Amino acid sequence: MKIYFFILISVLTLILLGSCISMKMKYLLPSENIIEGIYLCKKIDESGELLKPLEIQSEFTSEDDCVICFIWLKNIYEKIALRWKWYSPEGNMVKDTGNIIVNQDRKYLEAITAYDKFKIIHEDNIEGQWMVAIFIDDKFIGRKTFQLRKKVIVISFSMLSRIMSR
Amino acid sequence: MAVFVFLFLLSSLSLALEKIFIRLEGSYLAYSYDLNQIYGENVEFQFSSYTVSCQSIKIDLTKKIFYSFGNVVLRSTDETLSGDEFLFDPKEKIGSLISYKEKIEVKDIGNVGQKIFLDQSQIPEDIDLLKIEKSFIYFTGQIFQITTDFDVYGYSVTLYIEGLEFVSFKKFKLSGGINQRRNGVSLEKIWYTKSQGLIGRLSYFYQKEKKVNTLTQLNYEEHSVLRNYQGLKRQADVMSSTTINFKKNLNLGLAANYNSSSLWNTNLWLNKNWGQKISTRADFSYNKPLNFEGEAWFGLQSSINTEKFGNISFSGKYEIQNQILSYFSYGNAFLKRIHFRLSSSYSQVKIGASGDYSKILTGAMDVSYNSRLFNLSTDYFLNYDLFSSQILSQPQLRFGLNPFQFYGGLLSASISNIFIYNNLTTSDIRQNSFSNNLFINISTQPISIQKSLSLDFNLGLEQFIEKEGRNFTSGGLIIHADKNIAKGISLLGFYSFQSRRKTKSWLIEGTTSQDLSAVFKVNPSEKLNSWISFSFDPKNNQWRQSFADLSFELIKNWKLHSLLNYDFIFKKINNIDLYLIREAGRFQLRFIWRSLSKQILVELVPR
Repeated sequence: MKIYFFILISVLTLILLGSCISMKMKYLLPSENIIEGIYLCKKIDESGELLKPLEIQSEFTSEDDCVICFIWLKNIYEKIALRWKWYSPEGNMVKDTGNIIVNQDRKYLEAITAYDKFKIIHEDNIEGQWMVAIFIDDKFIGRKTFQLRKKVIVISFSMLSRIMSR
Repeated sequence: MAVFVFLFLLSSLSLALEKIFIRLEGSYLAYSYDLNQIYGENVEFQFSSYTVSCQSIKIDLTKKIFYSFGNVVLRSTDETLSGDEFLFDPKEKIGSLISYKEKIEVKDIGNVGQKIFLDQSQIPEDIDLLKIEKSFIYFTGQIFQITTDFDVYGYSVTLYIEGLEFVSFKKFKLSGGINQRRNGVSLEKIWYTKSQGLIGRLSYFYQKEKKVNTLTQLNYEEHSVLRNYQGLKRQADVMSSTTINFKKNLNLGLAANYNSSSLWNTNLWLNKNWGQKISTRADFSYNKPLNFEGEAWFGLQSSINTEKFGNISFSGKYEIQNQILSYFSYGNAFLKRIHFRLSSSYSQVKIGASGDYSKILTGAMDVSYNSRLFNLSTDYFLNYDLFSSQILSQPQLRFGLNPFQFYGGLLSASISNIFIYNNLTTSDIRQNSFSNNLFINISTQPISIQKSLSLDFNLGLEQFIEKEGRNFTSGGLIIHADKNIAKGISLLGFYSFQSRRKTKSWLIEGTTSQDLSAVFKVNPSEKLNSWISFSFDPKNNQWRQSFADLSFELIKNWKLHSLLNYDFIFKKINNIDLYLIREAGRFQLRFIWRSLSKQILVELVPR
């Protein structure tokens, strides 16, 4: 009985291994333009060799000056064209940076950081979900959405009574 | 042997019958086993009548999100469409093609009248290649197939373990391990153990969405292959469960279990909801225990929620040998703060094979009142044993003052009292007893002694009185100190004193216990978490035990965790546990060494 089991399991194992496992396969590599990250932030730290996003968030208010869309790319060998397109909650394009050429000299760059600032327009109808789409060499690579809210000034009762007593 | 070969072939057949609903071909495809996600570049696939090509694709198989982007082109014999993003559902064959031009243009693709839900949460932002490459197990290849059960098969794939190229396969089920049932017969297990012999598990599953759901499992154990096995030569268990939904509010179920030792039971039920307020269930069950006569029960239960007039529920069961089980309850709330509940049950059950019946009637009623200051409740419980003519009645009265604060919130106090009266009447005797328990608790908020040192106290007192005179008074004090030494480093101290005094007539006797313990914590960052504790008995001037816990991150997602317990009384290390843990998305890999059992364990824990 045991010998039958041994033979059966050995045959099945050989069939499985022989048909499934291959010792050499084509070595695959992903494309080199790897996006390290896309962030929405309020400020940029320009003190170091590379720029850094500060106060990363996805909600902004009318009190903020601008919304910054920051991109971090790695391993760039070629000249590339970066482009940001900003859209209102209704889906209308409100800003297009056009193509911004980076690495004109076609050098190898370990990392590239870049950003575009969108100045918040102080109008009544700014509330809602806005969006920025990012392109490299006219190819869409990603998008970020953010909420814009109107800053509501809250007056406490004690403040109100002081204002009234004046 | 023949059964074994048949079952093996059957299991292979069930895999072969799986339906492929999307085939991805790309210059680079990666699948993370940990995260159950796919990332691909320069990908082409079929969708409805279109051939879709895109620069990148991201798929989350757990969330069932399919997202392709970058130069998306949909080609059919009639038209060619292009866009920047294509979000799609391959099962429903619907999708949205999005283009970022002067306006955001969205074109619906696929089945007319159906729209894919467009939301930011549908965009799998958390899928990226870097994350996949950091997985414990991931595969790369150029052709992946996804089945209707969301299993992933790869052709000419390379397996990477912890980022290192391991082995390649011509065809491999990449998502193996996700336990998703599919319609049909499947062989779940064939195994051999020294204690159980040859084990096999076969199951049949059929599901028709929202209509029928059935699962039948056969467990088989062959013991004849074992030497010196004392029990049965073989054993089989069949378990089956089926539910049929006729309508949204009407369903039928059938469950049955059978064991080859002639043990079996079955249950048939019908559920009906009459609107949202009334539900009814009628059932029949038959149970055949070993060496006893079978029992056939008919049952009916219902619950009525009248909101304003309260909730009523009742159930009744009758067995053909004249056994009865019944239950009734009513509950309601009055004036928002008063709660009333009444319940009663009656059981008439056969006592073994004697032909006698145990007959028990129970009743309970409770009324409670909750206010912001106090809570008051009264319960009454009655147990009437009709067979042995014994009545137990037990009224209770509970009163408690809700925790209240004084000295500007520095001190907090609470008081509660429970009074219980017991009355037991039998044909010969009548017994009465009572007990009263009073609890008082006073605690403080943490008091800052220094900038980095805080203390808090807790004082408790309990007085127990009973008719038999076994009265006692107990009190306790707990002091808790918290000292921050530096960022992430702190020392916690506890001192506890407990005393219990028993009073009976002129005799006072009692015990006291003390415990002093300290915990030293070091958590300077998320990567290091450790503490060590010591406990000391001041009364006997004796060190007791020490526990130490150290956890820190090694490299990537590997973590080392150790636990140690030292006993000062016996002067020995009781136990050391060492864990080497790899966090890997939907599972955790653990290598464990336990000194107590002297065992090394490898665990794969699904999360």
